[in-house]
Amino acid sequence: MRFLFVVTSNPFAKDYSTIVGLAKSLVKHGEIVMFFSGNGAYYTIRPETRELKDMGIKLLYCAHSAYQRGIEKPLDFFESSSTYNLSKIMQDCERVLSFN
Amino acid sequence: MKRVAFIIKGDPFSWKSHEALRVAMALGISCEVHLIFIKDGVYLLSKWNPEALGITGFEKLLDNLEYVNLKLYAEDASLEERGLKREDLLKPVELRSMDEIRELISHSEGVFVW
Repeated sequence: MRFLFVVTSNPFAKDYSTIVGLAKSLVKHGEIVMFFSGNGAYYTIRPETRELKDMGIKLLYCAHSAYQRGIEKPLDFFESSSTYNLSKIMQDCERVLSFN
Repeated sequence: MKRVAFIIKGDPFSWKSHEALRVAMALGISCEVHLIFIKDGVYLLSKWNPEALGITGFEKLLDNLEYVNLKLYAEDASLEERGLKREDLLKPVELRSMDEIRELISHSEGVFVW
């Protein structure tokens, strides 16, 4: 099974620990893709998110949101993407969870 | 094609409403998106005069509706409570009761709440 997390809340909000906890348990049941948009773009400069990468999770971020927020150097394990790609990714995922 | 319900309940003054509409339009490229305005979210469709605050409104985004697979709904009670009528809105929308909205959501494969 493929899970898609769409995260627009900032990385210091309550959602962070929920996302990490959920990812730890769901990663045993399938593949996880995370898409960071809006204030979720700030995840790309938070070093602790490496633990998500180490779980084998694919980490994508909206380049437009990052640009809007002046983020110039996202951490190297984040992949630049767009909301257009998000609409494509949704086709392949069985479950979508959003954190706004 | 994936069927996605987008529920906007926040007012138009927060960045979330702008982000929600941007993401909904993008998803409408390859998904079937039902964009549902409830509570203060119905103000996004009204003529709220964002220029007076020096911020961009939603007209430009909403003008591109015909290019994506996206339908607009507003909850009838939310409009009524706020003294808004169909003719006060920027775009034609389908009015729905909360029960009908619940039906829309239950038939969707992805649900986003803003």
